Amino acid sequence: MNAQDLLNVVVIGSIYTLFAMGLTLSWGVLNILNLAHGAIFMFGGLLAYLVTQDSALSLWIVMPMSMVVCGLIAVLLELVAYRPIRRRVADLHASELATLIASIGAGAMLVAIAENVTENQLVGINPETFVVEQTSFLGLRTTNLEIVIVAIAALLSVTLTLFITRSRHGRALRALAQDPYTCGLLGISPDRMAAATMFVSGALAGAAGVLLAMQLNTVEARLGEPLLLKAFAVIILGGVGSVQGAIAAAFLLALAETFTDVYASTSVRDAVAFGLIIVLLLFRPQGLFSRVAWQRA
Amino acid sequence: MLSDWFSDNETLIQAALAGALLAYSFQIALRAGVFTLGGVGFWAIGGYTTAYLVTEREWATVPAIGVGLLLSAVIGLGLALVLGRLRALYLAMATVAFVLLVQIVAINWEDVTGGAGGLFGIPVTVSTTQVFLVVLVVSIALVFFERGARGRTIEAMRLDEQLAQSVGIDVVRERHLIFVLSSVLAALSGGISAVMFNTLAPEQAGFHLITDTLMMVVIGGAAAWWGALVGAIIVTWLPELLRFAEDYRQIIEAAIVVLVIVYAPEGIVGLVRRVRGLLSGRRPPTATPFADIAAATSPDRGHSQPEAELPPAAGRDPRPATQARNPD
Amino acid sequence: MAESMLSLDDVKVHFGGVRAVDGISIALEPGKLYGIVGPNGSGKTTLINAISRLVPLTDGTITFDGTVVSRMRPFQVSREGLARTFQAVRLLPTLTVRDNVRVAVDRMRDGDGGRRGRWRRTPAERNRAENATDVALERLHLTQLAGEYPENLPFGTQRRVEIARAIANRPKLLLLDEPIAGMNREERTEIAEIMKSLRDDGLTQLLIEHDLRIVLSACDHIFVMNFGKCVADGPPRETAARPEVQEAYLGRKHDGGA
Repeated sequence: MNAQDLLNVVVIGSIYTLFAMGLTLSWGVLNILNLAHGAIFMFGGLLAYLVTQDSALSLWIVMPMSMVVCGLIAVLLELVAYRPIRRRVADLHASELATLIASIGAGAMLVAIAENVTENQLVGINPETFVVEQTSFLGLRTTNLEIVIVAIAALLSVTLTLFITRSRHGRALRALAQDPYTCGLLGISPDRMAAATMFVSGALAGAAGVLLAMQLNTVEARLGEPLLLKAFAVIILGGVGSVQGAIAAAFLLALAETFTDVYASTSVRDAVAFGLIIVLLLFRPQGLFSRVAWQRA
Repeated sequence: MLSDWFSDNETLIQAALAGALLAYSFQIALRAGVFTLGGVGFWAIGGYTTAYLVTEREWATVPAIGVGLLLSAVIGLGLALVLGRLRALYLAMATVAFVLLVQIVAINWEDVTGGAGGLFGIPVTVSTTQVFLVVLVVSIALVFFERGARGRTIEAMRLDEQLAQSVGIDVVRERHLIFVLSSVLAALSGGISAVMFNTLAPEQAGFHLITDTLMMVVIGGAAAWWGALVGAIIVTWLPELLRFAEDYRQIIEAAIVVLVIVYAPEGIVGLVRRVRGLLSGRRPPTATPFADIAAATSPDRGHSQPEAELPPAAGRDPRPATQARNPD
Repeated sequence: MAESMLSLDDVKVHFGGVRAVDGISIALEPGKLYGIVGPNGSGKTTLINAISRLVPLTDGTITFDGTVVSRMRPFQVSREGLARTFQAVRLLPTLTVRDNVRVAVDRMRDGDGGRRGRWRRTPAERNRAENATDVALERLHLTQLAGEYPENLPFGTQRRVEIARAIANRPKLLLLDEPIAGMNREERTEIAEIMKSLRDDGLTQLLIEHDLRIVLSACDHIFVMNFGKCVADGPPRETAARPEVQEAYLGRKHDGGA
């Protein structure tokens, strides 16, 4: 493994971070394992493709727009599916399962829409959205896009971490994760917080979607599925609901995968995530880093 | 007349039968409170094993499927031992990860699976009638399995695991048993599908199949065994029924899953019981894995805890079901 | 000590820094009705949960009818003959009253107590289980209601179903976690009578209760808990009159209505 590989780890880890933070947030705070997350992520890329189809727009317009729309899609799911389920189903266990199934259905819906729009073809975001140029960083080969990806991931993860640990709303979120009922009594509206959480989660997925679609130069309906497996590993590694844990775990997973890539074979690489999940679930279900996650794991 | 209908719709009938077996696999696990979606992985294992043995090794169909079942039982037990103590979302996540892993293996292990392109020209060695008989036998077996003592055990495991243990049910062992049974049923569906439809590709064994199968269980209703069967028939014919929707068909199908799980989680079983209840004047409660009425009798297990009856110091976890580990 | 139905030796249950149960040593003789009293949060329910193995012990030993059960899993102590009820009614809403009771006798076998069973029970075994169900229902005056679903029954009746389920498998020891909470006076008296008659049949019972009147009139012996420790024990009336017991209850005397 050389320095070039490590740079690669940083780029991949950044994408994983952006993807996994949103998923761990909704699970940790709301007990929603949102399997539509991968589809929302894909939609971020798809939207970028759609709006740049005729005329090139700057990435700095396209990405915020995708983030907002993806955030709204996630809020929509919360409003039409997850919230009604929480209202109707009193038993926590049953409501978690119903929510999970609803999220699978919602994800399938988004994928079906995407298949319609793209007519099952691979499409690409207009390259003029962001002109990719080779460049070097500390003597390593890279592209300006990769630098942007890393920078955005760093910016968003630092912002989210500060928001959760320092701001009043962040504290309210943590309180919600602990005890929704008492939160209601304290004047924090669980419904509003849930919608806000879903928005943030969706927006993060949207950003990740645009960036990965740019990096791969492709968008397709099932873009998100492979990332779901990675995100599971990241969440388990970092501890459910822990944003800092997810960030650290994302880079660890990227490192482990690149390591496998270099020293074993590319085909084993994708199984690394599953292996990590199994090992961790067996020996440290509370995650590597957090002694106690937001919720008891 | 009837035979015309059969030959016109043979592919759909076959798909419904194979779908019913996989739906049984999902349903039996969910009813016992075991949150596994790993069935699709075992469907693939059963399918590829059968296809490989029949095509490459020229085995007879029955032993080939048998090996697939055995292999799935062994892997299923292994998975149950590893994941057995996981609950709820953790188990769902780990089993989805397993499905994705099986798919990755199927794409990469080209010698056996034909890689991403899949296998073509698997000899068709079963007739629709034979598959129908298999489904019939399995259905009857399930009726007996879910009746009487075992049925009560399953209800207790899903509705209240602590209570189940306190009346002497070895919940860990029962969960392993359910896990293995579910794996074997899924492998049976996969094995039969392989030698019924003559192709098998990794993309079949992914999210799409999870969605379809959940759709069968949810639409049919999970409170009785026949819900899965009815659900399989409906879901299989849905594309035909939605033909008018053309390109929007799949979107509508997925939307139906969401609507049913949110607004009618008891599915057709619930509907039938409600109608029967209206006719007889007395309605037995229909609790499914997705819509429990448990909170009606035990206020302490609901979402909102109107009066936490114990301070945390007294140490009763108000939500035992979400624990990742067993209390013991 | 060898004759004890249940003996606890320095049993501790700590949750992090919280010492819910902190060194309890008690012994129950067979055939008696015992009560545990104490203010809210004194560790009563945790103690019951520890005995029925639903929470892990931090330290100590529990011996049940000559067998050390401290490390057993809940279903194992249940099969040893220990039954319990829960503070909140925990009936299975999808099953009838009769089926709720049957759940407890479904593993009833001849000989080895059903520890390692054949796949199906013999007709004789099933008959025995049915009889046990009938007896338990009869005992709690539920025979007429056997076909009802729990949600259609008043709260007090649901409690009786719980007790029927607990005694159906003929346990050696019955743990009752506030069996009369939320009941009206008549129902309380009825349950107290049932407990006494079970005692007269030789069933050892350990009861948690807020309502001192019931405890004083029904129990043979009481333990007073506070802050996870047993602060007093002895015959009900004398023990309740002791100053340290009065103090534990001072200002928070409950009437069982919680």
